[in-house]
Amino acid sequence: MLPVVDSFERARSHLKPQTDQEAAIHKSYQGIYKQLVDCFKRIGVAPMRPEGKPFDPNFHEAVLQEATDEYPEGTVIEELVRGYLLGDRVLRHAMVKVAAVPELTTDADSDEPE
Amino acid sequence: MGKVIGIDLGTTNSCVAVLEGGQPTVISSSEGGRTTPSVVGFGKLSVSLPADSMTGKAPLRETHLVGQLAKRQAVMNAENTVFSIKRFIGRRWEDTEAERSRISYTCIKGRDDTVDVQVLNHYYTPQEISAMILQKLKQDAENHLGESVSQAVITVPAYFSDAQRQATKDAGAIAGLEVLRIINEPTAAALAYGLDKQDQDQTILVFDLGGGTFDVSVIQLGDGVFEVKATSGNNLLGGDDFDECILNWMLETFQTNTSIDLSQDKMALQRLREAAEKAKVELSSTITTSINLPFITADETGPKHLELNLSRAKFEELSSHLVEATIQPLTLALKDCGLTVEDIDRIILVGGSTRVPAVQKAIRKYFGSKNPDRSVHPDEAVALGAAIQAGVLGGEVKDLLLLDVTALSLGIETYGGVFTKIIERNTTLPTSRSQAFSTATDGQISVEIQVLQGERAMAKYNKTLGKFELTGIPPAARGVPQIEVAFDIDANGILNVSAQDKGTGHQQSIRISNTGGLTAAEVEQMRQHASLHADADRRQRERAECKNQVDSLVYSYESILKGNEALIGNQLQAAASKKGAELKATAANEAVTMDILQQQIFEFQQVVFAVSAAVYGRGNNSTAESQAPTELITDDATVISDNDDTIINDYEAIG
Repeated sequence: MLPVVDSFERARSHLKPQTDQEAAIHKSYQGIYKQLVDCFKRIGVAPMRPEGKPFDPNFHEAVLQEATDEYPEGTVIEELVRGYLLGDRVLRHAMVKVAAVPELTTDADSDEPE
Repeated sequence: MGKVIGIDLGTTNSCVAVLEGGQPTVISSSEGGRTTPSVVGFGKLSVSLPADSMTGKAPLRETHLVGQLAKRQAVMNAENTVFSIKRFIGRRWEDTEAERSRISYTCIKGRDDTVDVQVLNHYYTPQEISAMILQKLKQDAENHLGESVSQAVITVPAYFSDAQRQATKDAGAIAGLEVLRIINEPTAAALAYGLDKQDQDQTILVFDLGGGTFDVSVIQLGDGVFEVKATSGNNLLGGDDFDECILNWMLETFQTNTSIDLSQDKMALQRLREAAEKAKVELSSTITTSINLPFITADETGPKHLELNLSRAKFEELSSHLVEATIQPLTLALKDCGLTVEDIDRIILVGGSTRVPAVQKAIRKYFGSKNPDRSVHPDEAVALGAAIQAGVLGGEVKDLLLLDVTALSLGIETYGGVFTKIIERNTTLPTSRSQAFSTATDGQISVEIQVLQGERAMAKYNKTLGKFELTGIPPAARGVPQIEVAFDIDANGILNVSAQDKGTGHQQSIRISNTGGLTAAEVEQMRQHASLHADADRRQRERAECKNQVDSLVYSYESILKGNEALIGNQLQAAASKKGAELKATAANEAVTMDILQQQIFEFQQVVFAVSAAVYGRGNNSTAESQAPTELITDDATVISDNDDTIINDYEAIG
């Protein structure tokens, strides 16, 4: 079920309704998304919200690395695919982007700094 | 005694199983997986470990992560994350160039030309890295069983050399596991399929297509003994390659449809990779699958979705080169053991990728009508087999089961025509033993090593497998040079005998590939002969040993005499020389009984002792101590031999 939630979220961030009509359709679909999230909440599923926390392989899966001065090394700076908990068990690991030390980027095979 | 666990220590994934109520059961990892990625990550971060894996003493766990956790942090810590360590264990630096070029961590040359891993200014041997994986599996097993585990059976590929097996065993020891046995992966798989329960002899082909490696083994089974006849494979072919096929196809199709290249978008690639694996798995049970990745990317015209249908036929077309690549090793393995497709009684499939229908189809086509057996979970078969073997060793399974053993004892001819066993019969393969020997005469510069197989005590009654000469020994008194003779039998029964002069480092060796060249009947005959002639042989051996003792005594006496004549009374000297000559004559006479000979040896010994006493007595009073140590060395050196055998092992003099 979680990939469905992902897709709704992607739709919300990607779609920019231009007209009122489009906005109405978009809104109604986002209503379905809210309903879905509510259902999950009721059975105890909670998103992890890992941004800003130190990387922990128990909950996170590092997918990307980015050189940055803003965060200490090893901090999760972006959640790419949302992780979920069911109670205290991991339902799905969050795929995250992790902060790296800028100097290391050349040999660490990571992304270009923004 | 606790439970004995069975471990499949794989290149990409490892699995641990144990016998529970007579049934082998896979133990899930603390992260919930049935298998554990063979990955070790060395943390540059301090990471909190889950509570359950923190229990118990785990000194190795403080600075590193193993398995799923290590895999999840691999991207951000590539240079400190070690995977595929199995490709390096027990191997030499110069043999692993290809492997070294494909890894993201740093390898350095270790002791004795081995490969070590350098992580965060620490050096780790492959054994230590493997030990960390084993430690994790051990921990998971302990959590599951609720008791401590100290013994294990570990599987290795059939082609693993003795060094690789030994290194794997060492890894077990480092992890705190006593490795009761190293068994071959195909043998373990056959056990999991219950093939040992069949009473007739069988030839089995094990087709093992795992995550990153492909192995084919032909094994023969009879009387509970597994013999690996041939192995072949491709250690760079596996399930990941099938995923890669689908991934590339998706990238190409997407680019054709939208002119967007996703291969630079790491986030998209990650989703594509997952989808590719999922599609592969689905196509094992369905004819077609849809790959649906909404909002995979966006351009100025708006968001883009990836929606593709992949049919099994298309997938087979995409992966046909991979499937074909499995056929050549198959042919090679059969050719190596001189068998044809018809000689194979059973085909068993191991490894997750054997679920791919195209692979099964190819095998069926290759073997005519024979259907491959895939009743056991292919990812777990090896670990389950190891658990069964563990149960046998732990006494839980009562069926007698012998695995991969030497049919007869192996050894060399030593002084007096005695057969000195170096590897006893029924030793589990592979094995290696070494023993130190010395020369039999003064100034001997070469020794002949005659390799023999059999159960009789005298060399001439056993089968000669080969011989070679080690020359260039610096002239020295008998018993002084130390020659280490090492026997090494690998998994395929290939015997390697080497002799090395420890003084000069000079080495000679011989390779005998046909140690299994005896038929079962011959083996039985040789064994029966051995028990039949046991008495006669023993007498002959005792006599030979007595003769050796006589020679050794006379030699000692003569060396004491040299340079010490002045210290020994004429009378004593005359008596001793007479006794010595008498003794030599007696020893040469085959008709004399052992009792008389032994009596004479004893008498002569007393005389020699008296002579020594005379020398020592004077030596202690005067300052002339220099002679005494020389004699002692001589005496000692004749029994330098080995640790557990008390026979005096001197070489037959040559020329």
